[in-house]
Amino acid sequence: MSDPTRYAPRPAPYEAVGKRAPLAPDRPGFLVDLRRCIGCHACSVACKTVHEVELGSFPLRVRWLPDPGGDTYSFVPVFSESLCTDDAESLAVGMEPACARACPTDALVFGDFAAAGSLLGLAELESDIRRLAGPDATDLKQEVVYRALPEWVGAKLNQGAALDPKDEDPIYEQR
Amino acid sequence: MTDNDQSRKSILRRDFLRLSATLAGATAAGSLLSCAATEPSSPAARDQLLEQVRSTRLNYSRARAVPTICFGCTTHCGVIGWVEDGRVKLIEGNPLDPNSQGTICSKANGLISATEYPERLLYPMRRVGPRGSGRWKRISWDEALGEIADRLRPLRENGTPERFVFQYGRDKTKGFSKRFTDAFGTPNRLNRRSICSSSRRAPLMSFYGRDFEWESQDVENTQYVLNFGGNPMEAYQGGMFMRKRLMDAKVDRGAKLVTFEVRPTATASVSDEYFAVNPASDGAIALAMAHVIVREGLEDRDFWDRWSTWDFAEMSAHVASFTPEWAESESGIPAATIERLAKEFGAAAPACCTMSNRGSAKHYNGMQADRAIRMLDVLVGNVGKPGGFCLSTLRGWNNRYGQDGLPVLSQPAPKPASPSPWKPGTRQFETLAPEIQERVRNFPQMWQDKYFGELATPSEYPLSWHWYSMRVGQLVYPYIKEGRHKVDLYMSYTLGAAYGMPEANLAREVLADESLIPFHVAIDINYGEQASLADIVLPDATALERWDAHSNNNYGLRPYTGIRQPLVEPLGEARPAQIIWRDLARLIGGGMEQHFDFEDLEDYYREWYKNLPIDWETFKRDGIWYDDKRPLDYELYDRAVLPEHLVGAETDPDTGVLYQTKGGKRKAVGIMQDGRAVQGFPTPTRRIAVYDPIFPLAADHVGLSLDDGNASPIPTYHKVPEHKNLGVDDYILTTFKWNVHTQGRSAYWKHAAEIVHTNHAMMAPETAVRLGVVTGDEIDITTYRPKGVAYRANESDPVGTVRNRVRIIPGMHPRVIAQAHHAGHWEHGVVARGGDTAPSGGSSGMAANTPGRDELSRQIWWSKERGGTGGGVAINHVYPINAAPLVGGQSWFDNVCTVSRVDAV
Ligand code: SF4
Ligand code: SF4
Ligand code: SF4
Repeated sequence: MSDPTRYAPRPAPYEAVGKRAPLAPDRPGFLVDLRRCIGCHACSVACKTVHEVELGSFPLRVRWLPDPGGDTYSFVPVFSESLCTDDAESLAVGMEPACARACPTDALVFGDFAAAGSLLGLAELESDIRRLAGPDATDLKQEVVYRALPEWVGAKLNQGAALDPKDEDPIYEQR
Repeated sequence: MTDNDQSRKSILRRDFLRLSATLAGATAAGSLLSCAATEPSSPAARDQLLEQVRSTRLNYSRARAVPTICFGCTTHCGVIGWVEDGRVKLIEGNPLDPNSQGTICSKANGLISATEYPERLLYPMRRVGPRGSGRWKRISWDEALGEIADRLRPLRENGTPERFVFQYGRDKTKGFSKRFTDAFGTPNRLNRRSICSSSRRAPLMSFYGRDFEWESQDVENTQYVLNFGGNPMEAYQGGMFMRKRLMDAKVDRGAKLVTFEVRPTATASVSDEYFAVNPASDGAIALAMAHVIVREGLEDRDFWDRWSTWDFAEMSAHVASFTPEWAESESGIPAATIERLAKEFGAAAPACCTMSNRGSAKHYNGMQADRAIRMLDVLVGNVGKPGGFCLSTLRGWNNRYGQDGLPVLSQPAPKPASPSPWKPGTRQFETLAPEIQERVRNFPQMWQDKYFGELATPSEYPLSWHWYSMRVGQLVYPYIKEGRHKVDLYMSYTLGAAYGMPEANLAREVLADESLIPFHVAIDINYGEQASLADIVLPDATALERWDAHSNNNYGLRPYTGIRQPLVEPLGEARPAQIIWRDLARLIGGGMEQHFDFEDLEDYYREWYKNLPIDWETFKRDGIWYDDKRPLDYELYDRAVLPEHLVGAETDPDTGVLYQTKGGKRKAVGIMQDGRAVQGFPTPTRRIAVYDPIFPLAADHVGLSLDDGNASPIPTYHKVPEHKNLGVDDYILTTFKWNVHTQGRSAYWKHAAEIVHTNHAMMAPETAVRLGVVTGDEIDITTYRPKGVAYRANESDPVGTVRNRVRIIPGMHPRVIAQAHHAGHWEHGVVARGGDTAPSGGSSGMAANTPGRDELSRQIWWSKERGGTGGGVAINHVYPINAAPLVGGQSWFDNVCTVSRVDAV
């Protein structure tokens, strides 16, 4: 069942579109719960589809990062500081952005960090919360907050390394 | 539909992207696209991209949200398409779907890429050069269907309808194509289930008595999952419905997931424990776990005695020899680990369940492996319990229409009778080779009554059709080549055999040979390798343009149904396959037409669903219907026998089984338990057939030695014959599918192809060290024939060699080389071919939208021209045809291979 404290309920198909109250968060943002991410790319492809983003550019990209010394992967959706917009069209009709709506496991949730008792407001009180640091992070129209981000992934993200999908990701090929 | 067809068609001419010039510039500069970086190269490029992202937004207030059923793969999630200006702009989940719970995967939006693909098939085409030359001309529907009907009619009139052979890859028209083949009179409605799920469906059918497209573990409420080679986070049909449930169970309730695999999948990655096991050893682990459970007294003895067909003492004696130490030597998993996991599993019962899929099943010993895995559930008594191994609706709603309080399905036009079996004395029987006649004559009556020749019911594989018609699709071409069946007209529907069958080169050889296949009609939505070997190609409508009825096994444990409905009109002259078959039936005539007496497909499906307790418009509005008051499908076996089944029923005093005789046929309908008549399981014994005599019976009738593990009535382990004496330089070549692809059918979906477009040979770091290679090096992989009872087994010549590049993957099993099986297309247009626009012999004849294609090909940053990898390597010809005994499931993951480094010149 969906979390009752989730910011926006998913739309039922027969509800009159456009009649729902717009989302107007005080502190809009994404909670990326890496405990739930399965690296499926649904978020990224939904974004690219609805925005008709040409091949080669990714407002949001999913990375499979090999666990250091381990034998499996960590999955991390990474927003592009310059290409991700705030998806006002969706918010205007009371829906989360398309990327978050596509996420099958609620790993990616949009909401209001300022809303006490909401999924995002509550998550912010947890100890395993990390924000992106780095020069461009503040450019995003909304905050991106990771839950359960491994230390080594955080370090990579802050160096911008994860944005260059060169060698380690099994999906992206070197040559 | 209210959509403006004109504006929809205009997308064929429309520039998909206004920024193409800028992007092409950026490509030339080499920074933006060649490394597929996420960040634009310059502030100007960034501003333009941003402008594009903003300006192409979907206006949700103007758009219509239409529910339908996704067909990105065969999972069939309920989805909603947002339709604006005659185009579908976004697909998202339908929250009313109790199975998917409103979730989708990345492939759902691939339906849009497929529908708008510039090289998509839009018109009927007739070949003008030799078959396979790629020279085509556009013809009218009248011409195309007229020619096909003129070729089919005489077969029917002359009493040789079986010479019309129909084979499908993805047919989810729920019986519509069967309506066509039945009305025509041919039993040859073939599929490709044996290369897909038959090896795991047969054990389920043996145990539980009905076909399950998939089981439906109650993972929502489970505490412990033992996963033997299933990959529900990425690939596993049906398992896709488990993703959210399983992640919620793990994160919110601390449930544990343990995975045995040969490579680090997404499922392995989210598992609490992942073990790289020796290939084909899953059954050994499961039997050793049964050993531990019995030894530790963790079994549910009452459940076993009540419901299993196998004596507990006999079972205990059987598993006593399968010690954890023995399993360690087979699987490579430490005995102590097997012991610990078995105890954890037993302790969590009944809120625990097994899961398995191709990883355990697609082996020579896979059927018994899955039976051993399934036995663990029976042993701890989790079957049908909350958090346990549940069976839900016994394969969707279709099997239960009209029963158990569910509405009766309505037939929109008279249903044709099925063809009659080929009995001794019938004309068809007499055409069979003497040794086949001999075998069929000796079959038990129940099989003689179902025998329809060697393509539909191969006599060497009786368990491929004992429960229901699974067929052995990978043997269709060899059998045609050997002359076991004469074909006059072959119709393939959404089938990619020429690309994706094992030994795909043999499929191509047969398809190209006009003496074996005099006429080939291919129906598909895109021009692929199969269509390139046809005489007439007919364009099918995509999932966004068509109607279908839908229902399948629900992890939400309640029967439900859904409707696929068109969101937009078919592009060009594409037509839904049902309309193609209806019109053909009308043209062929001779009584066929009476079975297709309906106006259009909406009429057809409205009639089909007329007994639903909601009206048609509401059904279309919601896309899904189910009765939310209905109790969940827990412990179905413990429910009272339905009153209608008790009428005239008799109890067998020895077994307690209740039989009802109807129309001269005696059928088990329930079983007495503690003085109650309960339904039990739909097996002949109404119990779970852990002991199943069907296996030795079938073995006996096809001359398979009873020493072969496949012949065992009880779950057992037998090593894959060719794995017994592996040389130090032998490896096991396996194959898999990435999460963004859907077998060979998605390589042309641009977003899927952008994420995965190659299929390098993956290997563990230690394997690479042994071979002296690093990532990027070229290797030759040579495969060999199997050594068990199989097609061309034991021949010493290699099957083939494929040259590929190395990709080092930590976490892989060191004996395994893995290649994804969906890359390396030479048809399906420019995206599937990794940007290669050179005529391949096929695409040049297409009525393609050239500007759209050129625009799209400019964006393919991974093309070889731009220094990228291109579209991967075709590999399916080196995988030997390897149908496991009795059921005929393809042993995809057994292939022994050798690897040699290609030294740079
Ligand atoms: S917020 Fe909008 S632009 Fe950003 S990733 Fe999500 S869908 Fe894409
Ligand atoms: S955030 Fe969600 S949609 Fe995106 S990859 Fe992770 S699980 Fe998939
Ligand atoms: S799993 Fe994905 S592709 Fe398959 S039906 Fe569901 S949404 Fe569509």
